[in-house]
Amino acid sequence: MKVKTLSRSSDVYLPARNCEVSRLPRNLDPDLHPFERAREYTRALNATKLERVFAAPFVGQLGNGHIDGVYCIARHTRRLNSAASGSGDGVIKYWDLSSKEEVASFTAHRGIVKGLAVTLDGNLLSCGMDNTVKLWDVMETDHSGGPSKTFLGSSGFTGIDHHRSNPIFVTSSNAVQLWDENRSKPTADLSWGADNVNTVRFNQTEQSIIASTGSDRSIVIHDIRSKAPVQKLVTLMRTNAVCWNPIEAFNFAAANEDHNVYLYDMRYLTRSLNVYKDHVSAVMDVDFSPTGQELVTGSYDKTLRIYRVNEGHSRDIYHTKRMQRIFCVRFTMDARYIMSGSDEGNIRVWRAEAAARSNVKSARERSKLEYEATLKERYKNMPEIRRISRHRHLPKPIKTASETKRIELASIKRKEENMRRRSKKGTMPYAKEREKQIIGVAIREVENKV
Amino acid sequence: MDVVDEFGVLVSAEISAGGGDGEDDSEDGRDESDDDERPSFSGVSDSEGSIHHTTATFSDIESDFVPSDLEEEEDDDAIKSLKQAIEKASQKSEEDVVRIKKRKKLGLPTHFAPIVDDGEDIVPVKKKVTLDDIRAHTSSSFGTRSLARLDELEKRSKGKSEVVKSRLGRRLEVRVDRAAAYEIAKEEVGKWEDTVKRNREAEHLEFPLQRSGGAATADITGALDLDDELDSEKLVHGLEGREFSLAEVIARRNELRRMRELMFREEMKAKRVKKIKSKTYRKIHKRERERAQEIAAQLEGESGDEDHEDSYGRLVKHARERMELRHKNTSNWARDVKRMNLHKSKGTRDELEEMLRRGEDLTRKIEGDDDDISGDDLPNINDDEEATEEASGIMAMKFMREAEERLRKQNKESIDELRRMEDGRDGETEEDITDSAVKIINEGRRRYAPGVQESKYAAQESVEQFIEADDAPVGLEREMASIAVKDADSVSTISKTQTSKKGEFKSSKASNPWIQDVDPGSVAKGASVLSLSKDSTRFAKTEARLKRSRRKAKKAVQAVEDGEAEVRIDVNQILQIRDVHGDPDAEANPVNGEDSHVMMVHKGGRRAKPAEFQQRELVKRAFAGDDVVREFQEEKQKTVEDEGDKEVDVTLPGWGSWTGKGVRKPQKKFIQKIEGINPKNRQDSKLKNVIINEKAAKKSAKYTAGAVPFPYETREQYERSLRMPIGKLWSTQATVQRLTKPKVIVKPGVVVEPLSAPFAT
Repeated sequence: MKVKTLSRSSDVYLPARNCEVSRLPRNLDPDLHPFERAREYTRALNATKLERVFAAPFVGQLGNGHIDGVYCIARHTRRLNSAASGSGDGVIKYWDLSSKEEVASFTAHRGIVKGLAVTLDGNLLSCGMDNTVKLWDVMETDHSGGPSKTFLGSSGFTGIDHHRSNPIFVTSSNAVQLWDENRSKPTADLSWGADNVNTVRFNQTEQSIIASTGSDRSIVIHDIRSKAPVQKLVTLMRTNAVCWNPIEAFNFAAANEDHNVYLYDMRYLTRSLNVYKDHVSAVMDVDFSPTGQELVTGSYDKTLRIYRVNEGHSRDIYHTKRMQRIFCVRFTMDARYIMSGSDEGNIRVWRAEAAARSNVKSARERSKLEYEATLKERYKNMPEIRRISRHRHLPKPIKTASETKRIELASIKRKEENMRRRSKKGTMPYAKEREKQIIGVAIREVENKV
Repeated sequence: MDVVDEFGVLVSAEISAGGGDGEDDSEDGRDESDDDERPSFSGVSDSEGSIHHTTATFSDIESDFVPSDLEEEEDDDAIKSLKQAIEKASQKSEEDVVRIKKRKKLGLPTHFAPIVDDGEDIVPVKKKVTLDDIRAHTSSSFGTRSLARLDELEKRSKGKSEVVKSRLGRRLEVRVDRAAAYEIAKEEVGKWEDTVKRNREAEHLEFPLQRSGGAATADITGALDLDDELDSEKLVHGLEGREFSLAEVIARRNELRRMRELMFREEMKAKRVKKIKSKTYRKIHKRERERAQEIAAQLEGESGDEDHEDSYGRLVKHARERMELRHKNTSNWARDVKRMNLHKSKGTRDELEEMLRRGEDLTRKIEGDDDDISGDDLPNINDDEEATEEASGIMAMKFMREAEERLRKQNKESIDELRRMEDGRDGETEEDITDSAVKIINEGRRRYAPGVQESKYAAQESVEQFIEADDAPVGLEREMASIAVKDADSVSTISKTQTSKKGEFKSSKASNPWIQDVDPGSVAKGASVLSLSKDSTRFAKTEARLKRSRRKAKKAVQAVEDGEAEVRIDVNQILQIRDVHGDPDAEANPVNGEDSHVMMVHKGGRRAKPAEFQQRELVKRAFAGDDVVREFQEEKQKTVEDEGDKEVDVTLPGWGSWTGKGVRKPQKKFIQKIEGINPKNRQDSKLKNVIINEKAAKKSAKYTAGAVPFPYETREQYERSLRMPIGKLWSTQATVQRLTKPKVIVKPGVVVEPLSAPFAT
């Protein structure tokens, strides 16, 4: 008599090839898998908790930093691991991001280095308050011989940016000037009114458009085709930095002195598209992620915040005990890391996703992470999950400041409401949050239609 | 550059028109150089042109020395329109100027101060620059050449049109200029809108978004069929119209080769895999084969020298048929036939019959199997098959078909005759149609027309028909019919339910073809007059009956005309009947059918009482004595008290209850106060008709979102988004992958470049 034993062919559970992942046989009968919602909720909750557990945003600092504060950072546009920084004592340093080591260090300017830009062939342009723009060959580590080219201006430069595909760059000083790399004098003056222009930034997508911010609280849009400024927006407070969205040609973010960042459409400047709140002090710099989905801001309140483009509040805040006021932030070109330069002279590298790791993952690990991310997204509105995912430890000054700010704003609002109640109906209309900061634009829609 | 320096603002504007080079003034070289000079432009020539025009016209206006431009007519038009525009703008801007001046007087800053603040201060504009001035400042041969060109242009243009003098201040000009430039910039940048929209709406964004190269070959290979000739000559021939380069063609050929090779390999592999079978598989199959052969040998041993395998195969087939009950009436097909009344068609009915007969044969065989399993079985099956074949053969023969055809024709004729008879009556009066008992029964509908009362007789009539036509009537059916007639008697009209019931019954009868044969009486009663004609005597009977019914109907009509009976039936009455009918209590009403009928008619004759009012009365009577409001209030009061503060006596029994002489009075009670919900703080304290449960499950609050979250608009939407689980346990691998694919995927270790326009550089 033959006794039948339970047997299973190894074909069922062993992978056909070595490189394949072994299959896990499973029964799809829904009766065997009850409570699916409760289970998935629990998984989402656990994933959220683990995300907070594994959140370690700080990767490290670059070398030993600068002696003076870092006021500008430039990333290489075609290589991932190269960056340069300029400090308050006129020193420029090249960095190798993968080893976090210093590649070269030299004194480039007398006085503060205000701006850095990368040329088409990967060389570095720097500008300083000593009225010069200098071109540096990055392949050389010894710059004792001086720059490979020097451009002289009439006053101290405050910002510089390079065209994406032409040997043209634009500088800001007491004027916005367009330069050709091969000429010693500016080819055009694009100024519009301001005594002093703080920053200037090329649009990387629609490449002939430039945005500059002036000390007269203005943001000016320039077009290098007509070699003229075309539109001007004046806000209540000064704009410290602008950055164009790399995948949405007409949108740019403006970091304002009033603690907020505003997103504008250059075609319709009478209102902002979004207001990014949360900072408790002036926002000094803003940078879009190369994916155009997020933006990072560095603030005078010594913190760095990351916003999703379509949300109004930050999704994360980074800070360390020793980090001082942040003057420049940049995403790396692979959208995974953030560099920040601060007043105390260090350049810090952060993860864009605090809990993400960049190691190579197996297919199963990846699919699990994706599954968890989906679950987190799905159940993010559940109170418990929302609470945990939003919880951040804040430095006490920031916490108290934000608390104070909240109270102040509420007070203002209340007062306004009282005034509105006591005044004649319709005389005090509600100001729209997205238009509050705007004083006016130079070219209004009516004029355009003439 | 010298030119720029010497002529300051004015000439720099001119440069802005031309792109910064003296050469640009030349007619021919202008457009090309423009293109060269503006590399970042997205390559759409229309807008470039428009930029060119506008800037050119501005320069025309502002500087007298520049002759009107290349396309003169066009420019003239442009200038005209621009002039108008500027005039308008100046009217408007005058106000602005006044406003700004005011601000200045007050010492306030003006936001929109241009480079040069006041138009009045600008000296260079006031002083007109002539060609001679430029000539004086130009020394190079290069400059003179272009000046010569200008001279020429001037000469040409002088004959035609006057140079337009600027009437505006410099400030306003610049302003208008900017407005135009801004308009163009907006337009240019607006071209990205579709891309932006698409990216925003995309389900997944994979960065880098744009491939850096190698797309061309892939596209070509994708565009062509894989089955194309591999021959390179033919390939080239086929692609001639497309103008591909040789390299592309070769790439495609290689691609095709690779595909074919892969397909071949796959095929070979499949072949090999098909052959491979496990040891157990072979063992089992071998054993089966052997057993089958054994049986076959046994069978064939008796039946003679037939082909072994053939007979074995038949055996298996029949066995399977038996097992599968293919020839029972229960197959899907048979059920469908029944359901959809397909059996009315001859072919289907034949097939069905055939199937049932075969089923019967098989069951017989199965029953007989116990007796003779070995010897008789196989020959029997053979016979059976032969017989069926024969039958079908006969049926297929011509004379049989003709006979069938004849029969059908006969049927049709008789049907037609019946129809005609009906039609004949149709010709008489219109009311007669409605009177027809057959019709009423067939339609199973309530009729609100004169003569409906007569349907009683008609129903009776039909039953009579039924009884007469049926030689051996089925008891149940007769009973049903008679009940129906009785009902009709009592209520005096055929209610909808009854007729429909009958209809159902009928249809169920008619739908089963096998019962139809056994029980033709039901058919006689039913709507299908078709089967009547099968029997001529029956036909004659029916005819007679029809005539009789017609006569009666006539009588009824006569009666109506005479005013014997009031036959108006209105909706209210019907409703009332339905109520009575539906309510068992009402049935038990002592009022008998006849009386109610009379009453109804009476009522109908005068003025019907509104049904709603009666309903209300009824409801009132039904719920008499129920004080719902008071009950609710009491309940609420009780809930409030239950959930409110409570005092509990926690005195230990016996504690301190001393007795005897000199004992003090017992201490006051130990009362504990348990805090509840203050009645004032209740959520329903101000809602009179509501009780809100304050003890709502607080645990579940943890698992519910407070409000409907942002992208969703209703609670249902949000709920729906959470309903289906995602995990591997609940859906297939592919679904899980699709659902969990992240929205933004960034390829690791790659520079994510900003978007760039497809044809720029």
